[in-house]
Amino acid sequence: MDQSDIEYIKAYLGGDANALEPMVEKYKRPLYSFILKMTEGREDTDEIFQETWFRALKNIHKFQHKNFLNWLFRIAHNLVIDRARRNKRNVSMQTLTGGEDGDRTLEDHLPAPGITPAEEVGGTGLGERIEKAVEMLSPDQKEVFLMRMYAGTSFKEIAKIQKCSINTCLARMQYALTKLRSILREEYDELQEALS
Amino acid sequence: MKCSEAEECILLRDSGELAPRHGGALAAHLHDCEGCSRFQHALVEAYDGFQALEEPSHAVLNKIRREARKLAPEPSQARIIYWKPVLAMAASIMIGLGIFLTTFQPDNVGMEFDMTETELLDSHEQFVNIMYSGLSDDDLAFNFLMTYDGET
Repeated sequence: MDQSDIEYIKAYLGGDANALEPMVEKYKRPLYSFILKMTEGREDTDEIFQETWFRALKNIHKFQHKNFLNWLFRIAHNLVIDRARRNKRNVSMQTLTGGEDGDRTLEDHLPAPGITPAEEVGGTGLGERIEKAVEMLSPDQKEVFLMRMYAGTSFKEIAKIQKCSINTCLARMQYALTKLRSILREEYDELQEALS
Repeated sequence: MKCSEAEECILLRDSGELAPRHGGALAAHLHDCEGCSRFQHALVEAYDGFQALEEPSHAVLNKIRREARKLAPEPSQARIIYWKPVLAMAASIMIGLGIFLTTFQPDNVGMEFDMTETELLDSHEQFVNIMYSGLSDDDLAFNFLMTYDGET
């Protein structure tokens, strides 16, 4: 864990009420972006973001994880699932057992055959195209991808959060990157030409 | 090494979870396999092209800050109990010492006494006068008897 995070938490627990301010600032973007992409709409995102921090603050004396951002992501993950249960949207989270979509498999989330990811995403900018490609991933795949991109969460940790095996997490990430590989074909070819 | 295994190894190496013994085999595979090189390229590009840019509103952040202040633990009671009297005592001592030093200056007191004493004791007669002034004749006689050793 970031050494400065430990110092901030110690100071906060010692009575310095503003000690966590740098952490709120440091983690606001990755956490908010993660929640925004896992939910529908900014209203939900604001509420979950806020609630994630409230829960973290209430339980900060119990914090024993190696990485504070991973801990926030874990809390956010649970809140996203709770929200999905209530709204009966985002129903394909694997942990959402007993729901009407609980039996859906990975294949159910794959795009229709014959349409390449590059055709599915019509954006022009690379970042925009990647974003659109990620939007088409299933929530499970998207979550693995976002946790890796935004928080650098290890696959072992993601497996614990998603309550699945590491191999399943790897398969989800592989799928996401295979999709991106198709989109990035042109960029790759240009790069290879430049190198040769 | 198969491509699917190589892709897993690429992901695990990226997350720092790849066992060192697989490093060599992965490098050899990447050297020969364009598909896996593309896969690796996609991973690198994803980091570059997919950044966390969205952020919450100030209103949401301010709510969190307020909650953080509200939930912040109180500084421990032991520290308050311990430090307050110590600071008060130290302040009292400093104030008392300051008053004493400004009011009574030891060097001047000693000097004044020495000068007065010197002035008074500059002759034997004056000393005798001081010693015996105010005593009655009976007292003087008694003192004489008590101090007389008979040899002089």
